[in-house]
Amino acid sequence: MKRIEYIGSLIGLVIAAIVIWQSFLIPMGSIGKPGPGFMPFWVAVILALLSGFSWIETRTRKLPAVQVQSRVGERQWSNVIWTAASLLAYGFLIEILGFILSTIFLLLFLFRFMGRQKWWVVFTGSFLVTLISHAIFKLALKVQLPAGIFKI
Amino acid sequence: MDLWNSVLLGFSISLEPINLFYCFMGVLMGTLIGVLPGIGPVATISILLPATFKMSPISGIIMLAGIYYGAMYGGSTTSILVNIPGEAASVVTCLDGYQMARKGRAGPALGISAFGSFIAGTFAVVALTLLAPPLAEVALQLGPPEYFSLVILGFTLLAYLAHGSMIKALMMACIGLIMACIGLDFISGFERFTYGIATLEDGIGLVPVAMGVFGIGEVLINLEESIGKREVFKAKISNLLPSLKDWKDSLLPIIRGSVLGFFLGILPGGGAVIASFTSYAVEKRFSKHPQEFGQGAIEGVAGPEAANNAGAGGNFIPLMTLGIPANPVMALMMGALVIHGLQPGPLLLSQNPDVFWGVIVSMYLGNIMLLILNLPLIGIWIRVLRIPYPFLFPLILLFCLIGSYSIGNNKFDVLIMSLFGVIGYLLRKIRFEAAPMLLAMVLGPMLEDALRQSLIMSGGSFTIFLVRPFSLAFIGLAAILTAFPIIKWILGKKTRLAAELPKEDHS
Repeated sequence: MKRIEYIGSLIGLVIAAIVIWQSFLIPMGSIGKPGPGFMPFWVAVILALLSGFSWIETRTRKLPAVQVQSRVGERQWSNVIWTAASLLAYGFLIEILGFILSTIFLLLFLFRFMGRQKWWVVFTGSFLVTLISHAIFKLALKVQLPAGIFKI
Repeated sequence: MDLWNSVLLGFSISLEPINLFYCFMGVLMGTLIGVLPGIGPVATISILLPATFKMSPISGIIMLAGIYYGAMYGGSTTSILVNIPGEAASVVTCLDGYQMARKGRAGPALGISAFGSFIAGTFAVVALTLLAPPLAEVALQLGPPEYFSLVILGFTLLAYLAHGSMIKALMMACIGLIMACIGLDFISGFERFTYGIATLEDGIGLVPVAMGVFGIGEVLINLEESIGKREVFKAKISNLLPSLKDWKDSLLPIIRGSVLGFFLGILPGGGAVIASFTSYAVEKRFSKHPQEFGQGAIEGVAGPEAANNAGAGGNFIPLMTLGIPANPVMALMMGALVIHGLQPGPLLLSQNPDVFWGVIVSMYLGNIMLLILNLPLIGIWIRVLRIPYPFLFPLILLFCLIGSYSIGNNKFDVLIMSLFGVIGYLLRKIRFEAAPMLLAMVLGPMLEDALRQSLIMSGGSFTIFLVRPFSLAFIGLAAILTAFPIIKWILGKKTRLAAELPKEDHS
């Protein structure tokens, strides 16, 4: 529990250090005429101080006698990693394969491997959802969805 | 224009068939996403924001507002029938609402929730109508130093009212401010933190970040757990109309919840969530039989449900009068107004009275629509609740992906959203709240502009923030709020608002 909170403080410190370093590469101006580096620099300094306070607060706080788990149930970390990876892959492929193909592939993957649906549900669901969303967003709402290299 | 004529103008606009249609669509979608756990108003408004580009600004804003207050209504249904909050503001309704359902009183629980929401929603709109114009006039007299101090006060309030640590909330606000600095500096035109990436010149968009953190992040958290079948209340629901005794028990909680919710909604960081929790604590304290709370006390449903709806109405005050959003939903509404070429704040009332009054009056109509939608259609909402999550989450993800792509028609927004989805998931794991970060992203440019202008005005003297009365008041209040928890911490008596509440964590 405490380890997680230390990680949060550490991330804050790292972000602050990077922003302070990078802010020196931007004109800082003066107090009477602040430049573009003024705000990020001072915000990063405040972030560094807060991260330090957070570290001290975590260190001095006593752990409660009974800790309440935020959620119950078996943890399935792989679901998170695969889903996040599939979204990133979708982002990279949508303009190459086009909306229809990339959406069908994404839904096939999500319904089958993350949702653990039966194959007939996977195929029916993926094709139907893709076609309906194409009809709603592209045809009805005129959202410009990419056609990709296959122009579909 | 006097108030009466302004309201008449509002009615003439909101009663136009197209606006009535979008108001109905907004409250319908709001109820739907309120009923469905795993997708909240922030994600829905983010997804649908690009769809409003083709609409008139009034229709678009009316629809987005309808989604927000509609979600407050819908959220209670899930809390009462499934013991899972449809959205964060309905967490507290689970405590007594579900117990009422288990005792065969699901009907009165749903009924009082809908009526309480209607009364509170209407109260909030009336209060908004009366309070917004004078506040907007006061806001016109504020200059850069006052705006800087006001935003600082807003951040402090947001951190003070945060569910967890105040320090963590302020850290998130700082990260949001740093993110707001990415892109071209609006005064000098200097590129900051872009590293040659052209798409970063315009900065990081609010909508992909909101969709990622609130939409994708929530889905990832749900996927981490083995999600069993939800146990939806199966008995036939009858007697939706509360009895005379139910009304007698609920009337004062509804009135208290409405007033409390509205004023808490005005505060940055306040809004519907904190309003419902505070109302529950207040009702428990006022009750002659506090031991019944958590066992199915109707006051525990009526008060919080009224409060969260009134809070949703109160949220519009700082946005409409000061141009300062109180929570992430209002930040998105602000984004929507800006995208449509409107400037939220005191000038909105004088320059675009049609938008201002059209949106406010549409809320009267929306509340009536919601009452009609929520009571007779309860059977449909129960069916919606039975949609299995393994089938639902791919749809949520797909809508987020389409929404993010359609903002700028480029894959960069999709990648940003996916990345922030992972960040949103990690933030939940390390117990950091995302709301202060999102608000800081929106308020960052305003804060920086006000700070730099103030310092130029004063020749570099920070006393400018202390010599002007409004600014001094805002800074003073922020200082008191910051000092309060520090003193308590030093004294070793750190208590939290949540101490009044059951210790269950529904985050």
